Order: sequence, then structure tokens, then C-alpha cells
Amino acid sequence: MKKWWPYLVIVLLWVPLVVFESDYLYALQDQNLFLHTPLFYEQQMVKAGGLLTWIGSYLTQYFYYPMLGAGILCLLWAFFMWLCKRTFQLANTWIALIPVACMVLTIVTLGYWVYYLKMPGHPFCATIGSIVTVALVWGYRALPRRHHLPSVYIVFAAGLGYMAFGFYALLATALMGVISWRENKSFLGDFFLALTQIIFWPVFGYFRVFHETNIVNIYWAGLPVFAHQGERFFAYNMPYVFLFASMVLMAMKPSIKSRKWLNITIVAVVAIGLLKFWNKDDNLHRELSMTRSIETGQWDKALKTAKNVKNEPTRLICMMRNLALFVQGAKTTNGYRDGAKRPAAPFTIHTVHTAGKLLYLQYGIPNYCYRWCMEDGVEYGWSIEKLKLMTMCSILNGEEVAAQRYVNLLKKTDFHKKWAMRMEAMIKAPQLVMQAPEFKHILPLLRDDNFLTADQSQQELFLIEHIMSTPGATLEQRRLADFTMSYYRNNRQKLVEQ
Amino acid sequence: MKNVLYTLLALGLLMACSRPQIPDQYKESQAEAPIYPDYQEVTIPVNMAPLNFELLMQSDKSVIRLRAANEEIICEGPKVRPDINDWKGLLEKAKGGAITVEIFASIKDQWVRFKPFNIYVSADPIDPWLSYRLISPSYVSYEELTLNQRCLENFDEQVFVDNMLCSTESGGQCVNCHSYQQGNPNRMQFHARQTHGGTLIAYDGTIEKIDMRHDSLLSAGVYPAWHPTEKLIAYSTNMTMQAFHTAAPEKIEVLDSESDLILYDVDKHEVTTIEQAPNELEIFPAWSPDGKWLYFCSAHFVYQSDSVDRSEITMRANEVKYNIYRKSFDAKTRQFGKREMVFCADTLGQSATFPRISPDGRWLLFTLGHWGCFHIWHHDADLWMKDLKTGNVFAMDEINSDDTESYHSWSSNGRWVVFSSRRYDGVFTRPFIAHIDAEGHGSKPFELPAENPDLHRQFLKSYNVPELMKGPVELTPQQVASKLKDDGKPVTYKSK
Repeated sequence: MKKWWPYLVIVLLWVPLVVFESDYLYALQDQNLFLHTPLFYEQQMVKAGGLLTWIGSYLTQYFYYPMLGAGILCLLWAFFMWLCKRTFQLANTWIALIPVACMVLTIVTLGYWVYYLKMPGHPFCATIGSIVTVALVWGYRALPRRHHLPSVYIVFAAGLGYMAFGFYALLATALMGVISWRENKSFLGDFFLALTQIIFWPVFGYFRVFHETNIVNIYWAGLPVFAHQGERFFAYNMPYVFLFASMVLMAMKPSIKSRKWLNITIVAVVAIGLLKFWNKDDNLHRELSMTRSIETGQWDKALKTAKNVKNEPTRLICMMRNLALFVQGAKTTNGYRDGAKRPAAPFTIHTVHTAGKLLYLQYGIPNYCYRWCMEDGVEYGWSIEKLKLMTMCSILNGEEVAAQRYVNLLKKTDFHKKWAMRMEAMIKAPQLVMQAPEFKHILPLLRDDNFLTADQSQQELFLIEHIMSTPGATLEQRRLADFTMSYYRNNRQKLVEQ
Repeated sequence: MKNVLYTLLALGLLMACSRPQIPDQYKESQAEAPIYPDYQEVTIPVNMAPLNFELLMQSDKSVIRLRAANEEIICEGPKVRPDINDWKGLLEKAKGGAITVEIFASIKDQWVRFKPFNIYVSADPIDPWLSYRLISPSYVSYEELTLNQRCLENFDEQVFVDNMLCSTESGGQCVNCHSYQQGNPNRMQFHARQTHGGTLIAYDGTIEKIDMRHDSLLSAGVYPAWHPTEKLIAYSTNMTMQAFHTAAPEKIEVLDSESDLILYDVDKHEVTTIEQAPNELEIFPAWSPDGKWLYFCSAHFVYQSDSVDRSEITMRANEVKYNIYRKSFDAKTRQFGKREMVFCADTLGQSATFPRISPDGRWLLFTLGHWGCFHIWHHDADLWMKDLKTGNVFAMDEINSDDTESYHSWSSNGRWVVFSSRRYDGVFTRPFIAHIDAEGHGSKPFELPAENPDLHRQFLKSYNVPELMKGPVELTPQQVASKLKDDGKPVTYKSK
């Protein structure tokens, strides 16, 4: 029974993921896209590590049901631990908890990167990549040591593995080299071969196979790059560094015995590490929850989430709360203090990259919602959220064929077909739009008069000015805009600094 | 066990050898079968790749027969993808005539033959390669951009420039404005902007990166036009900006607050000004095939404020209307004559862009929209033709659609044009090809065929600046990336 205890810890990880991170996990799939089309597969495979991102994108969609997605993750982590024990012949399975904790951290430390990270399927990539690494090493160990089979295996595992899984295959090759060195106590033979393969395949891939990866990045293919507006944030790579280091450690020192004090220490270190680095930003979690509420038309829930905010809220929380008031007739403006706390991210967050697109749509400016969906789709990758918003914008603009294009794509997903088919019905029978709850409050706000302008990334100001001159807005709604404008005037300096 | 294996093998072979059968009995329908892309009654060149298409209807089974003379191809639907060798044979038989397409579909256990249609096969070949930029129809952002080339005789597609090879996390790169001297793939140029910015010019095996920025110029070269014989490239220089429509279907407007024309000497790395008229916004140079005339567009715009005011031109954007002019050019002295009006669009309340002269020098094909220069985002933009012999101007109704038609390029024999159109959904640009007869009339255009006929309905990128070429560009993306990482050679400016 005792040997299963480490696996029970994995089950425990499922609980906080589901209890505290449901909205976050849902957002991960909302910012992800997986399509059951050959084209989607081909588009992933133009880069080294393409199969990894394809599998990662496929699995990320299961966060649509956070409990299910988290459950899959936990099963994969448990499988990883079992595989580590077999492959590295670990005397102490608890050791394998360390890389698992690192994998958890690759997901729960991201915060606002959920909107900005460019790697498709990243929530599952570290897990799948690590499983592939260990599985490749297991293959190496399992082969009989004759006819140079292990050497041939290294060449194929490094070459084919790199094309499909990028860095993780190179790591596997390095681990094979380590095992060879451990077995033979020599830097020649498979150790040297592994080294040459690690150097050779990325260069070969650059010149002969792929044309999408800059030569400076060929050795890191399949790993996320935490960079934004010219700045790199290496701190977010640390879980990966520890993950890889722990695997090297397991390959080098598999004989660490299971001792009670050691096992308790490992569990304690893992628990403290997770508690310390787990992103607990209340504002971000509320933003994500409110976004989900607004998407599903649960305005009361959105208001409640905003009201219970623990600290000074971010501007986005205030904007979403104002939207909820706006939609509900702006009858409740008391009992809430405004705020403008800077989002807890290492770089400037613009609302248009987060929930701002949704706000543009809700305030009846589909062109600007569509624009930012397109801009972000190009820069950060296509996602369910963007395709859905673009569908709705196209329907509101009367661009049925464009709307149908996005609907056709959403019909190729696993969990958004139903939504797509509802929209398809509206495309075919536009009179249904008038009654649809998603559009009911937006329709009066649509304007015929056109202005050639730009929001200059000052979304809230732009929106307020727009609403104040929107004929379809009610008196209460304009008052609310005016109220917000006063706040802006009084806090101009603080807001500009943001 | 052996017997089972043999049986399975025989069954497999039988299945592989069996070909779809035309039903013996069927009901005739006068309805046209819905297909994508729409290839009904189009005219195609004799060297075209198979026109793969997809049936857009629910049926239990479908069989398609393509027939010319005594040759036929029978395919099963719903995706119709004839074998390329069979297709080539059929094209030869149909040369100067037509391929008849019959669609049979089994609907509720009843076979129906839909109204057959023709695909006309012109004896005029088209230049075998097409290059384009694949870009998402974004506004400001860009990430993955490639310059691709596609063999029109089959489905081979290659990337020859990929910006991701030069982009880093700290600096992205835009690539644009690929252009060739007379469709010669060995004489090409394109620009890179931002990280590793510059103009890359390849000429008969040599490849140079040029830094065309200069104090005397508004900007580095933008819209290019290779002289047909000399090692000269005319460019516009533009102070470009963007603004966004709050409600109009166009969504974005790209405007120039100032623009001029320059001439770049490839050998001397020297720039001279061609046209810098006050209150004029010059753009889109294009040479006549004999190299004696430079056509271009120019809009007269007088700022009400004392100086160039970007907000003013944004406010008055719909007053910016371009006419087409030309200037004579003496290749020996490198001197230009005075501007002459070719097509006065503003008096019609319109704006004309992208003048392109046919290789025989007779036809001027251009884009006409209500205003502005960025017609790819204007749903009203259409292709128009001017007969330079008679002066007649007419809309290319056979080619145009209710949505955008914009960039266009002539084939070297002057019998084909490729142009960009957003006719299917108003958002994503696709290349269409149309035959142009001796009288300047177009045939019904057809969309660039894809191996998977559904590709263009799934693909979230636009085909930008389609240019026909006589062969493929031999450069690899890695060679280009390596060159772009070098510093650009500076240019010298020579005043007139």
C-alpha cells in the first residue's frame, strides 16, 4: 500500500486545481484552439516540436470542463511518476514528485501570460514533453546491448523525436548519454554519440526541414518563450529548469533510498514550493470569473464577483462591473468604490488584450472588437474566445459569409459545436438575432454613423466618449458613463501612469 | 491463415482497382450542383493544375464525370480530386474547347444528374509560377509572414522568405512588396521592416541588402516597380498611417499624409527624386512594357492647416482621390518628362490605384474605389480597364464581384491576369485568375485551385500581392534570413 502513497499526493493536487482554478483552467481552453482538421495539424507541424503543441492543444480543450481537464493532468502526472520509477529504476518514488511539482508550476504560475503566451497547447506541453522524454529513455534502457542497437536508437530518437517534440527529445538524448556514461564510465561511445546528435539535429532541421524557427531558438523548440514587447522574463522559465534538472538527477542518481525523513522533506518542499509560487492574484481570478459570467450573460454573478473584491480592484474589474450595471439599467451605482490597481503582471497589461475585446462587443462597437480579435489572433494565436467574438461581430455587422467561416471552424472543435450551431441558425435566419440573449442589449447600441479614429490603447476613455454620444443608450446608461468620466478626470495621473 | 491473407490481399487489390461507376439510371435535374470553389463556366489555361472542388450538398454518394472528346475522368465525391496525369491528358484533349463536368448524386436512394457545366480550356498558357505573401488580414500586428511561390501546373508550394527566421522575441519583422523584373524570378526585390529592416535585391545570382533610408527622402522605398530592361526600380516613398472605422464595413483605412516617387539605380546604389509635387500624394509606380513611360497615381490634397496634419487627412480621408498619370522616361539620360493625365478618376468622384500595363502596351488595368489608396479593404473596389489605343474605359464586369477586387498582375503573354479578391467572405483575400482576350474582355475568373478544395474556407490567411513569374525563385528562406541579418548598404541621394 505504501508504494502508492506518492500517487495519492497527485490526487490531492486535483482538489486545489478544481476548487481555486476553475475559471483559470477554463480561460486556458478559451485562449486555446484545437481543430479536427488536417490543415490544423499541418500548421503545427511546420515547427520542430509541432506534434507536442498539437497534442497539447488537443488536451487543453478538456479544460472546458475544469474537473475533467484537471483529472487528465493528474492522471498524466501519475503516469509520469510510474514511468520515472520504471525507467530510472528509482529506489524512491517520492523523488518523482519534484518534477511533477515543477509541471504544476508551469501551469499555475502563469497569471496574465494566459493571454500573452504564444505557444499553442502550453498547459499540457511540459507534461507531455516530459512523459515523451522519459518514455524515450525507457526505450533506450529496454533495448538489448548488442548489434549497436542502443546507438542506432539514439540517432533515431534524437532525429525523429526532435522533429516531433523539439527540446524534449534532445533532453531524452542527453539522459541517454548520462545513462551510458553511468553504465560505462566513459565519455566515448553513446555519451559522445548523444552529444553529437543533440548538436546535429536542430541544425539539420533548420536548414532542411523547417523554416519557421529562428536559428537562435532551434535548441529550445517546444518550450515556451516568456517575452513581451522586447523584454524577456526568465523567472517564468525556472519551473522548467528545475523540471529538467530533476530528470537529470533521476538519471544520474536513481539509487536514493526511500527514508521517512527524506520523503517528508520532499513532500514539505513540494508543498511549500507550490504554495509560494502558485499565482493567487485575487484580481486576476475575479477578472477571469467576470469574463466568464459576461460571456454567459450572468450579470448578477459578475456584479457579485466585483463587489466581493478583497483589495483595490484593477481597472478591468471596474470596467466589467460598469458594463454589468450598464446592461442592467445602471440602477445600482452605490456600495462600490472605484479603483485602478495595476494588474499583477511583470509588464503593462492593456485591456484590449484581455477582456477588452468582449467589452467592445458589449458596448456595441463590433468593428473594434473584431479588430482586436484579429490583431491578437495574429500575434498571440487563434483561440476559441476570438473565433466566437468574431462570429458575433460578423453577425452584428451583417457579414453572414464571414460569420459562417468562423462557425465552420468552431464546428470542428470538440466542445463548442453546440454554440456554433446556435450561431449558424442565426446566420440562416437573421430575425433570430433580435431575440437572442447575447445580442438583445447590444442591438440598441449599434450606431450607423461612422468615425475614422483609433482607441490609442485607451479603451475605457474611448468607450465612455462613445457611449455618451450613442443615441441608443438610455439616460441612466449615459449617466453611468458620465460618472466614470468624472472618476477619470479626478484620477487622471494615476490612470495615465498605468 | 494463409488463405485469409490471400483473400484480404485480393479484396484490397480489387478495391484499389475498382473505379467509380456512372449510374445507369438517374433523374435529370436542371439545377446547378452547389460546388466550392465555383468553377462553373470558367476559362482556364492549358497548363493549369487540376481544378479540385467540393460538392456542397448532402448526398449518400456522388460520382463526377469530367469529359473532353473521347477522354474522361470519373471521380467519387464529395471532394473531386482528379489524378494530375489524367487531368493533363484531359486538358490536352480539351485545348481550345471545353471539359464537360457532370455531377451525379444519390439523394434518398435516387440518383440525380445535375445540370452539367463546362470548364473552357484556353490554348493560351499562363506563367507557371505564382508568388504571394501569406498574411493574416490584421490591421497593425503581424507575426508569421511568408513569401510563397506556387507552381500553377500542380500543387507544389514553397516558402522562400519567412520572417520568423529573422524575428526574435524582442523584435518582429514585416516582409512585403515582393516584385520581379518582367516576371523573372532571378531579378526580384522585397522589403523587410523593423528588425533587420532593408530592401533585399536579388539580381542574376547576386543578392544585396540595401538601406534606402536617407535624410532627403520621406521614407525608404515602399511600392516598387522594376524598369522592364534597365537595372532601375521606381518606388514611392510614403508617410503611412492607419485609422479604424467605428461602424463602416471597411474597418480600417491606410492613408499617406505625404508621399513622393523616387528612382533607385541598382548598380550605383543611387536614389533620385522622380516626383515631389506640392499638394500631391504620389504612389503606385508602374512602367510601360517598353520602359518609356512611368505610370503612377497621384491625389491632389491641400491641407487646411499650415503644415502636414495627420489628423486632418484622417478626418478628410474620403476626399483623397487618386488619378492615374504618366511621365515619359529616357533611359539614356535618365530624365523624366512632365506628368500627363491618363485617367481622371476624381472628376468621377472615384479613386484609381494600381495601374498595370499589359505586355503588348495596349491595356491599362487598374483598381477603382470611392476614395483612398488602400483598396484591399474597400468592398466597393473593382477592376477597370482603359484601352490606351482608343481611350475607352470600362469596368471589368466579367471579373468583378460585389466585394473587393484589388491587386492584379499580368501574365507575360498578356492573356491572363491574376488578381486578389475578397468575393467569398469579404475578409480573406484569395487569388483569382481570368483570361483576357484580344479586345480586353475578361472571362469568368476562377479561384487558385488547392489540393484540398476546402483549404481556402479554413485558412485564416490572405494571399497578398499575387505576382506571376516565369519560374521559381531559387533562394531558400535560410539564405534570405542570413542576408537580411547583414547591415544594409546605404544609398546615395542625387538631386535632380
